[in-house]
Amino acid sequence: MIGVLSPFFDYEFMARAAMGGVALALAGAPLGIFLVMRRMSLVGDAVGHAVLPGAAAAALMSGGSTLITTIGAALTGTMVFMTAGPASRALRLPEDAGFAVFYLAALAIGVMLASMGGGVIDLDKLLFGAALAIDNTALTLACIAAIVTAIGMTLVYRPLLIDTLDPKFMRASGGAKWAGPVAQSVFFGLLALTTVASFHALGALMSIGLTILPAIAARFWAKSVPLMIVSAAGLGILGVLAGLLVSFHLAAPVGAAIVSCLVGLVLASSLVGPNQSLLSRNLGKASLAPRAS
Amino acid sequence: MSLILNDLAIGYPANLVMAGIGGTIPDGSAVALIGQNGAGKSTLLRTLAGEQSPVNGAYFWDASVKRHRSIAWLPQSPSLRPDAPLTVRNLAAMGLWARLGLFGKPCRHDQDRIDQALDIVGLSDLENRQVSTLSGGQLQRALFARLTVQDCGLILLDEPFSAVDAASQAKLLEVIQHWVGEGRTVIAAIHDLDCARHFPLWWELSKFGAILRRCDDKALSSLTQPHRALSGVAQSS
Repeated sequence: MIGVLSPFFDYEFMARAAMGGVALALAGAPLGIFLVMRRMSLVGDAVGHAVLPGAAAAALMSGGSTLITTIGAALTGTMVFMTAGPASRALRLPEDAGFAVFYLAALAIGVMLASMGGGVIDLDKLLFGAALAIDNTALTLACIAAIVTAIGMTLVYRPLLIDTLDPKFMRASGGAKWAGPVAQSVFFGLLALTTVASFHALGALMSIGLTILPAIAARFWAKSVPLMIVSAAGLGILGVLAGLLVSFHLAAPVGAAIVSCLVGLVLASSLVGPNQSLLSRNLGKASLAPRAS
Repeated sequence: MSLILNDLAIGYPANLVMAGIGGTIPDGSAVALIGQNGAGKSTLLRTLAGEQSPVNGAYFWDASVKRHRSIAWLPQSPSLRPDAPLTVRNLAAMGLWARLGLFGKPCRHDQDRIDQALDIVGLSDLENRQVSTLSGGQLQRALFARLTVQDCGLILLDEPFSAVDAASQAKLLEVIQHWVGEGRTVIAAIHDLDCARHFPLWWELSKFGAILRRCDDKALSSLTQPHRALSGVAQSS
């Protein structure tokens, strides 16, 4: 067992990648649970893709500086998130259609910008990430995302939960009128921060994977929101470590390996998890079925 | 000590549903809000709940008991997510939000209030069940438990019996009687007149205005100034 884990002890780049991945899994867990409960998984994915043009333009101008690329990614990600909803309403498009137009446009512009760099920008790195080459700035950003998310979500947990589960009650409950909108803003701000922090490790195409996939898997393991968050964090960490090892031993692209392992965890959870999985539902039916005499 | 309506106009500036609603509904009343579809029942309740601004005029809720100053509202289609990962007890505890705020911890008295609310609606034995597994009637009773925990003086219910069976309806009517017995005012929009007969007062909305009367048809007072009502005839709610 220890032998399988030895790359984390033998190679510094593996240890750094594991540290960054664990931090991002911790940051993504509560955010993912709320995104899934709010049925906004695809919106999160769209915002993840939307970081590309800003990242590409900033990398082009700065020669690939991690900090500048991060700022560029944050700018376009936030811009698409803030404008896609209102623009959809103004154009009378369904909101998901508006997000699709915006993120495809962002992706296309990003790819064009990156290819205009004449080799200065590594398009593969922007699209698929480079978790094994995570530098100090990206690692620090991942740790900051984990800490700030933990603090922010603790502060807004109660109003965000009520607003997510029953928004009309939140508005008419007689509680503080500002609490719901403030909780939402904090939540989306933390989501933007974590998505941008994940971008260096997993790239624009899969950056939201570490937030969404463990949250989807966690619903098969826990019934209450706090336990779901703990399960998502655990599953996220497991997926990251497994993905890094798969990548190390099979020489597979690291972002794809991590996301594949997370998808594997979702499938396994949906089959054998104790809550509403295929197995638990069939066991429940079997126990209720009349016994043959 | 009552709900005071002062020249209230409801709806939207471009689509006025009713205007000139004035009058007083006494504390501790059980009022059935009746009227045809589109008469403005839901619009009036949304306006009183603060979900929608009045087009004109104002209303005042002046409770005799200090802690009854708030208004609770249960819409016809609650926005509670059907797959919400909540137990019945947690749903009832949500009613403490206005009092506890961001970080307040429920005290022993709050826990007792939740116990009592679940007992009143007959869900004590299901307090640990997930709300996603409840029947329509059980879910409505759980939402009534949350209203009880909210501890408001004015409780607004929009078609509370529309999706429940006879047994649950009887239980919910018992809960409403309990609330009224505690001095709270309940206003419930109801389309079924047989069901409305359980309420001593009827607040009837029609194109001629709003009339408050006893359910035995004896008119008490008009809540609408007729000339204003006719200028804002209900077309839709």
